[in-house]
Amino acid sequence: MRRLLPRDAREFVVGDLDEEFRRYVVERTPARARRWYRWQAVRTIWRFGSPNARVELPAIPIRDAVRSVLWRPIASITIVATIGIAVAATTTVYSALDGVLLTPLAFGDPDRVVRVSLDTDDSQGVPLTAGDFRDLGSTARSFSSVAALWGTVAMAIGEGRPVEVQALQVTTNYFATLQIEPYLGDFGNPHPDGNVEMGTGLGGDVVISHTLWATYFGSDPTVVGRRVPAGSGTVVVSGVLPPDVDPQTVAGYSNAGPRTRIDMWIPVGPGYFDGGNRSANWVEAIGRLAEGVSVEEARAEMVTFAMVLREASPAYEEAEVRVRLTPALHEVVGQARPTIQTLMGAVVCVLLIACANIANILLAQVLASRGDAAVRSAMGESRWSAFLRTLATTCLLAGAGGALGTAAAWFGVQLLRAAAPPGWPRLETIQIDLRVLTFALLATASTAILAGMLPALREARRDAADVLRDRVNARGSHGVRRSLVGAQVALSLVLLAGAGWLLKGFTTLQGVEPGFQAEGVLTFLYQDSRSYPDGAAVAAGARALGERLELIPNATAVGLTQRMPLRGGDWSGPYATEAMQADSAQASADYRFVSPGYLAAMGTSLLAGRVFDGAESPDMIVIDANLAAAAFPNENAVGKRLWVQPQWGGQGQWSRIVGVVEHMRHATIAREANPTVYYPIFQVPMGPRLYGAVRTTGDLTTMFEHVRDAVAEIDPRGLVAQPIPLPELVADDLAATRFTATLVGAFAAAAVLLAAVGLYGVLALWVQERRFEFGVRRALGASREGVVAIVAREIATMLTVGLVVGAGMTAAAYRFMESLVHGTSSSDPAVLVAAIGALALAAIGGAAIPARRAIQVDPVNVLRG
Amino acid sequence: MTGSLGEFEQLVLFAVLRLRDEAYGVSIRREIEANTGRDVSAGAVYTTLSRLEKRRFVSSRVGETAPERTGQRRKYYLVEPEGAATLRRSYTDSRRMARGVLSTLEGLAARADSGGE
Repeated sequence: MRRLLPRDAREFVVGDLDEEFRRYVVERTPARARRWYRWQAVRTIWRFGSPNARVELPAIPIRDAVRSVLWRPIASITIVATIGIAVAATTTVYSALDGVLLTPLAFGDPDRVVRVSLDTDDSQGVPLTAGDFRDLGSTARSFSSVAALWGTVAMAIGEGRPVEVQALQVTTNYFATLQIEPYLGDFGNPHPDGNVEMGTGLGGDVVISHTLWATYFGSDPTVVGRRVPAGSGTVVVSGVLPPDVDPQTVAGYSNAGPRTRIDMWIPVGPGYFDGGNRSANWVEAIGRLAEGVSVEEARAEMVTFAMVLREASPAYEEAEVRVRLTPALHEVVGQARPTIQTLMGAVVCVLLIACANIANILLAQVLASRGDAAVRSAMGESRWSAFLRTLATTCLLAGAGGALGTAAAWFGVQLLRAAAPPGWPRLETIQIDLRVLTFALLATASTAILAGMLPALREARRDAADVLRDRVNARGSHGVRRSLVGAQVALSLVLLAGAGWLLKGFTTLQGVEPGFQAEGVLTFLYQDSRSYPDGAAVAAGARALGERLELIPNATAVGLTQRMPLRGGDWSGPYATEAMQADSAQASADYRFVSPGYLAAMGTSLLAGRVFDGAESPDMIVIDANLAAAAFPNENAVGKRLWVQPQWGGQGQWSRIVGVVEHMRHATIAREANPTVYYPIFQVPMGPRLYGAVRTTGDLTTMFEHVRDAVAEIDPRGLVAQPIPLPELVADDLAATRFTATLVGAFAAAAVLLAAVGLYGVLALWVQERRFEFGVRRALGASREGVVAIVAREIATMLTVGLVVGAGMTAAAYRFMESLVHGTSSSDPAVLVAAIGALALAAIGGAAIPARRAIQVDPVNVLRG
Repeated sequence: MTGSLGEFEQLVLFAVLRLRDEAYGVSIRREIEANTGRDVSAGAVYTTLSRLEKRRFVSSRVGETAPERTGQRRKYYLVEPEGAATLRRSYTDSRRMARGVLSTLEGLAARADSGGE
């Protein structure tokens, strides 16, 4: 205060105020005197102070805060760094949450669009059949429009060096259903050929993405109407999508596969579904809810609609099919949702633990500065300004930490986008924007409040006489600090157990036998560009290619199929045994059409009988072990007959099982696929999009050149693309689990470290405060072990409460992240026990130094004072 | 040399006069409070005194300390002739202006006092 007064007036003014204060203490009460003094001092400075006093007066708590921050540089740096890291981590994860889960999809009224799919008892989200889709369009009243997408087509477009483009087939009303307006042109006329997938070539209108328009067509405004060579024919560009529409989002749940980027859409007329075939589920349907219809109302109608479908299809009746409606955003986001939510939960735990640590450090400071504060209090500092002073200190530290953290979050976001597992949706929407910055601010503010409130209240709660009651006050505070450590232990346990589950799940997944030997296998995509007069010619074309591929040098085995594991898509159909047929029952199986070398190329083990050898007849099939177990339990399946339906809409046929192979996982390594039927690919028209697998002991890169050369001999304009080694596909599939396990593991490690540091701090202070007691005990004959026992009891008290609460919270956390964890369960005691053990070890590590200090207390020194 | 005085300046000058040799911050503030019943802030007194001293209406000297002042000395004030002249003129002016309207003033002010708000 003196400093704020004019130099020549300081002495008299301060003296006057002191003099009057003494008189008021006598005349009135000391409390009223203090209030008067403060009020007069502030007003005097305000009216009479030196020229900059008016600026400086409100800055006093800030100045005090700066002073106290600078006074303890190490503690301050620790706090700022802790807050910085916590805010950075929280903000980074929040940016993912905000971008992926909260940002609406980039088309009109996205909340009104749902995906329509089927659930059975053993699978969820199965696509519709053509017949189902036709019925949906004609009967469902809940939708203003329903559209379909299916069948990705790869093609080379352009002259000279063609560019590989992935195209998706959609119904003509697809974009209208999504309420996407064309950027240029229109969304074209239905494709004249209807079925593009069946290898009849292209010739109609296509819609292209804004990216393709910008890169391949150089943003040419006259692109509409341009004829572009594509595959064996030409396509006509009829429209360009707007820039903000993410084509991957729109195609998010096509069978495109994790690494496929859709840049072209082929509109197909509604007549395509007139046949109403019900044998294969391949139609991805979306619907826009009609005006005034809620999702719940639509779901209610779908219960009735499921009855209609069950009536039309015996297989559905058997499988008790239900209709599922999923909001488009949920569908697009998929598995990323529980991942991000788990990460967010984990990172908030870390933030809370960091808050508890900071609160502990600040509390220790409050205790350490008791003398200082008592003097302030005696000098008339009010509780309110003591509170403000401490809170200002925290705000200052939090502000610095928050700024640091927000800056670091910028890098965090770049890192996250680079490190996110392949196939993570909407990565481009993850960014630092106003909402994320607001979140960072809120996180910082909550840190300041959470960490600063307790110390500030404690600072405010004392009076001048506190110095004398030193010990009592410290004890009271120890209870608070002990609870903080308990909370840290509880939260750390949740994180550790969660990380343990994820890690165990990950290692379990790594140990899964997927039904193929990935090492040494190169997979690729082949899009046939040849034209065929009929189905037999299609099959012959495939055979010609297959046989040419067999001649590739250094290839141990080469095979073709219509659906490659881990590369998206599915293909299912009915089957029946003779017993089932007698009850006119059917069941559903996955169908894989394979060339003779395919199973050998994939390294799938033959369990009984033989695989195809190229000389088979159309009534031979190979089945997998799961189908053998389902259809012929405890029997040898080889030689048995099975009713299958290899062609869409075709008649079913009885086929002879020539071999049984091990089950191959398809969509993901985490789950078994349906029981599978292998059918010889050269016996049916299949294409034009096929996958190949080459097994080699040599170099995979040169192998791809060989494949390309071989295909060029048979089909010069055919497209050989997307060479991906099978081990990479496996790694991609595990990447999401690895990613979550790694991040949660890192958060858990940070949490345990923070908790150990917190425990160390609390215990160190506790030992310091009880030095005298320990000294007396030792002097009275207590052994070192006796002192250790006291310290151990103290540690146990802090740990036990935390562990008990933490174990309870862990069960809740498990339910939350259940869908992310494979091969373990919340009742798995090993993980929890390991987590508790690790935490106890960390606690002992944190407690070691203070415990040593307690033992080393020298009774003589202490008693001498 | 000349110039007018604000109302609070008048009060402070009168207080210094009344206190003779004993006029310093605390006593001046108390004198005004005791005679007017007003709540006077220390800051206002110091501001006014410093202004009056700058206009040479008062002078000051550093005095002794007292035990209750924790070693800080007092600053005593005296009214200078210049200040006395201005105060007199100011006061006389007020009195002259009041002549003949005091009863009206009383009547009007009484209304305000008796709850004319």
